Parts: sequence; C-alpha cells; structure tokens
Amino acid sequence: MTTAELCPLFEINCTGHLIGVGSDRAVPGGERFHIEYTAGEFEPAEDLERYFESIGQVLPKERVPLKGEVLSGSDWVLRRSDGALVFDGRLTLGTPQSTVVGRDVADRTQFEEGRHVQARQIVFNAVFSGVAPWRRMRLADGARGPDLAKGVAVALPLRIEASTFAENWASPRFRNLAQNFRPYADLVTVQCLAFGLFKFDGTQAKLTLRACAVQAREEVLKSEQAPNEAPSSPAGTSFAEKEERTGVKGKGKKQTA
Amino acid sequence: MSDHRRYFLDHALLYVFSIDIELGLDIEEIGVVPEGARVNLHCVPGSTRAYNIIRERTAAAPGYSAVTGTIVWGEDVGVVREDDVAVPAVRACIRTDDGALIETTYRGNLSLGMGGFRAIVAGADAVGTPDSPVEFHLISTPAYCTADPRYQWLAEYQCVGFGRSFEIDGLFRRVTYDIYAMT
Repeated sequence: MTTAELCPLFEINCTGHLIGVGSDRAVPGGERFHIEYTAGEFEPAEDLERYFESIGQVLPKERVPLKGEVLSGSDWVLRRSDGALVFDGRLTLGTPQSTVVGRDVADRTQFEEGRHVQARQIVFNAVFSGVAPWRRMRLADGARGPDLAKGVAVALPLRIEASTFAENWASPRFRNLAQNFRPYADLVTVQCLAFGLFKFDGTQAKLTLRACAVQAREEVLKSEQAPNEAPSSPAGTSFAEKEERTGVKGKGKKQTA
Repeated sequence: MSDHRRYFLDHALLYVFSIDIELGLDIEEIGVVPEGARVNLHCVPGSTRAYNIIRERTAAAPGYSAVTGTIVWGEDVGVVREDDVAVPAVRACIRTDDGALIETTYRGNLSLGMGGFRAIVAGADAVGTPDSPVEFHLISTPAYCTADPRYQWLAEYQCVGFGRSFEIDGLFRRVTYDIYAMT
C-alpha cells in the first residue's frame, strides 16, 4: 500500500495588491483578480527538527533551515462562478544575503564576475496552482461560505524551481546558484503541498502558506508479510503517534538514523 | 493514391496594435534547471506602451476599438533552453486609455543563434550597448481576455506577435511587437 507523509519545509507570509483597481473583472467562467505580491518573508517550519526526530533522523547540518524574503510574486486568482477559487501563482524567494541580479548592477565589474551571488545566497521559485472552495453551494441551512476578506483556507500543490547543477564552464553566478541550493536538491524533485490562508479585501491580499514536501512510501501490509518478518512501520500517521511509537518526545534527544 | 485536400484553407492576419516593452533591472536569475536557464523578468509599468502605428481608432471594422494604453503589470518567467532557443512565458495586464483592463498570456520562441545558451550561462553574453543593442527576432502567440465589451472582440482571436528583443550589456532590456489577429 502506498502512503504519504508531509515533511514541513517553511512558512511563507506575504502581502500584495490588486493590479488595475476599479476595473471590471469578469472573464469567462468567473472573475479574475490579478494580484502582485510585493513584500513578505519565509521562515523555517517550527517543527522541521521535530519531524526529523520523529522519523529517527537528525536534521543534516548543511541543511540550514530556509529563511528569507519574498522577492517578487504574482497570482492570477479566478473566482469561479461555481464557488471555487482557482490559484495560479508564483513567488520568488531568496535568502537574506541574496541580491537580485541587476539591482546592484551599477558595478559592472562585480556583476560580470558574479560576485553579486555571495557564498550563502539562495534564490528559488515556489510555483503553486490549484483550486480551493470559496463558497458552498445550495446549503440546506442557508449557511454562507467563508468571507474572502476574513480568509479562505487553501491547500494547493506547490512546486519548487531552483538550480541544483551547473556545468564547470558556467559563470560564477550560475555555479553559486546551483551550489547554494544543492543541500536542498531533493525539494525540486518532490511534490510539495502548501496549505494556509488567503485573505483578499478587494484591493489588498495576504497569503500565508505552510509548505510541506509530500513523501510517498510503499508500505508492506501486515497481511502481506511473511510470518517471521518484522512488521513495517505504519506511515501517514500523526506526530503524536510517531512519538509514541519511537519514544521520542518533542524536541528531546536526537536519534541517529 | 492519396485523396487529401489539394487547396489551402483561407487565412489572414489582421493588425491589432503594437507594443513597446521596457524590461526592468530587477532580473531574478533562478539558475540552470532541467529545462534550461530560468530567469524572471519584469516589465517597467508606465514606460510600456500599446499603440496603433497607423493611428486608427478601430481595428478592422466599426465596433472593434483599437487598443491603445499601457502595460500596468507584466512578467516573463521564461527559460533559455540548451538548444539555444529562449521560450518566454509572459502574463501581463494592459490598461487601455479608455479604462479597460485586458489580460494576456503567451509563450513564444526566440532563437539566440548557435551558442546562445552557453554564452548566457557562461556569462560571455555582455554584448550590446544602449546605442547599438543586439537584436533578436521573436515570435509570440498571445491571447487576450477582458470584461470590457468594447474589447471583447479581441478574445475571439488567437493572435501572433512579430517582435524584436534588444539586448544591452547582456541583459534583455526592451521588446517591441506588432500584434496581429489570425483570422
């Protein structure tokens, strides 16, 4: 049986605004809201270390939890006439040391030598798209769905786009980009999920997302095991259940793999 | 013996508008990904203009308002592929002079010539000057969508853009297009 487990990565908080305020938004199928995200930050998920502990591993030293700012972003949200919100967004995230190429481009020498990408800089795209219920249709008790201004809970597929490899003939800036993200290389090859809250009052938008990597595992069912074979560990269970099973509590003593 | 059709289907290009796009210096280089070198470009709002070259007030027929205005927001999250072809992936919003908001999304094809990918990734592409930018031919296939009834006709067509992209100091700084509706 295949099961899935969520590995918390980081939490994104960003704010943005509507593009072209005052315009009619109707498009075939609903209303489109063009949102530009201009500010925000992302922080490591609080329980990342705890997660590694729960699976009996230690957070790798070279894998410093990702933390930084939202450099830019956009989302074209379709408020569908059937009561769904369809998201189609992208955020560019960078660690604090990151310098967006071109912003400091006055020093051309520095630019050419790629020194603007310093030793610890990471820049990557978080691409999300998907659908979330916004308004329940035809409820028997007449209850209304959530108010967009108060926030709508969303769970969206998320994909990380980053450079993890560059040829040795590549410029220092491209080699640095690849080298810096290499400890997180697995993130570009796994499906991620982002869940959180989307608030939109008509002009200002706020997006809070918790990004998790989805790890699918093939588990052997007890009934499929040979009589003398050790039972496999169940997956897709909560942290509390894992703690009980592994004997590791919260941020207690780390276990090695 | 094949009995396939022996004549071409009718087709025509209808000039819609032209557009000059200034790209900002806030370029975000993501780096080399499996698809190629990924770079995010943003257009400079306000200095990007949509206009009708022959100053017509209608396009093709009465009731088809000509498009003039500015791009209020636009981004290109394209890639430069290893086969020396750059593939823009653009979405943008045009605010017309009469207040309509038109959204557009498109991809395109820009041939960099042999060695173009390697030059960009190796950082050996610092070519072009403000007075003499390096010019690339660019074809795009925009589609438009708007709620404004005056420009609804635009949504009925698949358009094609014949353009030029200008590189200055190794950075794509300017793009200009003539947009035609394919009928």
